[in-house]
Amino acid sequence: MGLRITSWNVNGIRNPFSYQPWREKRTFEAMFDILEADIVVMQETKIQRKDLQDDMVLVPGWDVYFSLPRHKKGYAGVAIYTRNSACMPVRAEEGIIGVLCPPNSTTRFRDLPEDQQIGGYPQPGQLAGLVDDATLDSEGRCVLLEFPAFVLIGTYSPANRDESRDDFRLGYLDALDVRIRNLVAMGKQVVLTGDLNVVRGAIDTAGLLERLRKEGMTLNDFFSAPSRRLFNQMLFEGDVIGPKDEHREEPLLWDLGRLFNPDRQGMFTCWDTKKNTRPGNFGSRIDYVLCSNGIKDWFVDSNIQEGLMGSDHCPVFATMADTVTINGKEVHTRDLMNPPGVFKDGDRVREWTTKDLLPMSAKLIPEFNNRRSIKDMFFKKPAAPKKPPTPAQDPSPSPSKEPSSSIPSTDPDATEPIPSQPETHTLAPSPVNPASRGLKRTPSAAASTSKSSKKVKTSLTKEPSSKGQSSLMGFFKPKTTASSSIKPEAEDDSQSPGLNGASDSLPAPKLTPSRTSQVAIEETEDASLPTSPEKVFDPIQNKESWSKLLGKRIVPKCEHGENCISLTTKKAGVNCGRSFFICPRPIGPTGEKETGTQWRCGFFIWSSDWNGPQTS
Amino acid sequence: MLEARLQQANVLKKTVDAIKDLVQDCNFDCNDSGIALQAMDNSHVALVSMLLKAETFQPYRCDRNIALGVNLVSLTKVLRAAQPDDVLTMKAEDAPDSLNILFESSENDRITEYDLKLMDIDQEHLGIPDTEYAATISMPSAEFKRICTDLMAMSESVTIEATKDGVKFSCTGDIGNGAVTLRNHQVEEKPKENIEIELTEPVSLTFSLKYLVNFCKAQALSDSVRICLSNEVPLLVEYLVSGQSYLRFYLAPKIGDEE
Repeated sequence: MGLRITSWNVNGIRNPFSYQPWREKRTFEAMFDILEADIVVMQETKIQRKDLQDDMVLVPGWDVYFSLPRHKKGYAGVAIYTRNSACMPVRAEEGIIGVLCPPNSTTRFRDLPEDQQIGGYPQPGQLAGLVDDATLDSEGRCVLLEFPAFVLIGTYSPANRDESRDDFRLGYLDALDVRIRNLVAMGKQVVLTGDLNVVRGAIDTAGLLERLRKEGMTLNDFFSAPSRRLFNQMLFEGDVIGPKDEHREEPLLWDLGRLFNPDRQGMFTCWDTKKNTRPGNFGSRIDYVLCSNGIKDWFVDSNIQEGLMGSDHCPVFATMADTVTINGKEVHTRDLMNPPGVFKDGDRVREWTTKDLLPMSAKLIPEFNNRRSIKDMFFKKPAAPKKPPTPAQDPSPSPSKEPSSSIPSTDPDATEPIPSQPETHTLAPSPVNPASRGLKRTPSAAASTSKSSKKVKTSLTKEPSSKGQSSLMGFFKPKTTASSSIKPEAEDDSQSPGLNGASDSLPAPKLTPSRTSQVAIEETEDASLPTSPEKVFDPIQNKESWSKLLGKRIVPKCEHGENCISLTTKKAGVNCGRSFFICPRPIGPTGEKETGTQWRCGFFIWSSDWNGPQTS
Repeated sequence: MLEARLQQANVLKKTVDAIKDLVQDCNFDCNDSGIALQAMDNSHVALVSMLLKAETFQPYRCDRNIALGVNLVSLTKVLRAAQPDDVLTMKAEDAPDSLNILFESSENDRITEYDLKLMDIDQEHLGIPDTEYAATISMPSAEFKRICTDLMAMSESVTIEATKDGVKFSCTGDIGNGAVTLRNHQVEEKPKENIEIELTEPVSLTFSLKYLVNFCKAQALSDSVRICLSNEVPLLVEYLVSGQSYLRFYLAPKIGDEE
């Protein structure tokens, strides 16, 4: 069954739980089982240490290592989850440079005795020195786990945002490169995985040629950008323009995803959520699983899981074989992924205990450490007394009721609690009054979690309120069509009496001829002038002007005949802050607006230029 | 059918307020002796046990055992509408879908009535054995709250150590350490400020402060609190509501460092 390493930029550790299939159970255990992963590397956890919850740290059967930013809150963050039954690291560190300290210690990782450190720390002079070491390691971007087989580096490399971050980004990639080179030079194997935020080749990003043409760049220019050049120099079969840099002559890592899918087009792992480019698969491949040369043959598969939703990235994975060959000898992967003596020939020799926890494990954070369940300290009651001894249970048991399930509630010998009690519990009310069952609220399957029960509540309370609540518009909409004669030009004039209607109402009659529009006068003369001077303000017109203020604006239709979406210009310039309407569909695989296809059409209008029909 | 009339809505208000942050959904088990509640928090570290005896209510009537599955957040919303001195009446049928709650103002004729939908809640019940505790500390509830919140600022956990010299609450955090020591203290004029320590053998246990601070929300219920400790047994924090009625919190100690 092998051992699978999955990397996923989750964009907020709880983010996937809003999507199928993760929303069903909303537990990390279930998520990892669906991913069929044994090691899960998450990036952009975007969580602060104080917000870590039981369910994300105390995942049954899993251990977890976090690297969270030191200063910025709810930013970046990397977590590596390891399945206890499959693998157990021997060392764990955070930070690529090694200048951070292990928990409860003031000795930096790089200053630890050699047998306690992973090693390979960049030495003075090896780094370009654009950014100081402490800063590079302070953003929660890297967790390193060492297994006897290899060193796993899970990382969230800085994104290419703006020039102010260029030094940091390059400095970080430089440090990654140096650290991996040092580790390989020490004879260690390395797996580097995560969101590297670098495009490897032209095949790894959509619409590159068009983009370059627009910007007047050549492919060579594009791949000569320092980050892409550095990345390609790290890779076997990487395209490097011109001679390689000093100290980077040798390639280091295999790009497993590409190795197993050499020619695949559109193999993208990240899409623009704002532009909704995922349906049209206009994206980039920036999440990788890479391995050093010595263990390349250990991997039997690597791919992306573009069908799994939950983030702006999709998961990527690589699978190792059950057994691998080292020096002509066949060795079980499990033996190599656990400390010596835990597995022998693929069979477990020693069970996992809490003593195996490494200092970096999140389970040792004080809040989660030394937890004892109160359930272990009280014995369970023989019979659950909560069940009402409903007398109606004896006559006419409902057809669905199985004899076996009714036993626990009555049998005094049932000292052992039945874990799956929902069956027996629902029995109690149902035979009495089957019709009333529907009235009761039922907490969802996981009754113990607060989240699920909240779900029940909100869905119940929201519905009636939206149904019963009538819109304010109902009161303001004119019933007659007479108002249709009012032209848009009258809008400005009619608004003022509408707005200050109450305060103006007495002195207004005298002013009417001069202030209100022609249309208004005509109408008021017809309807109400003779009866009372206070009614000069035509209620219909009043309503109309209110509805103009409150009414929903009719949005323009695009070339597909669909209602447009309204966006606001963010780009700096004269139009910044202006809102406009465009086609609501996702952008097509070409990355451009298209005419006559199912993807986003070229419709565009500034919101201020749109004088379409108002609600009538 | 259940009918329970409480002279002061405040009793139920404060009780529910004290437990709603620990437990979201739970059953109120009603029988002829009173209304009981037992529930664990999500992480199964703490347990709440409440008993409102029949005598607390005037009158109290419960013909059959009824389990009222209540979402405490929802119940809080309803109880928020009650004035502290309102007379509160709870009514439910024998197999209820909803719980009827009535507030009658003691000052005017205002009557407020709510029906709260109930839920089927599957809950584990734990048998709580009668325990002879090694140390029992009675102290003003406000004092206990102050100790817990003060130490919470230092550390995540507190070690409570009871010896013949007194009881010491100590903690160690990143910024340093701190401790509060209390001794037997009895003044006849101010019985409310008494501190009594009964000790059969010395005991020292460590607990999560987050939970203790949470328990202290029950401070409004009673002027004094009783804290009971024994090795290998959960800590008991007890607030007496009135007469025999109580609100108890149990907390599993942290496993000691073997290394």
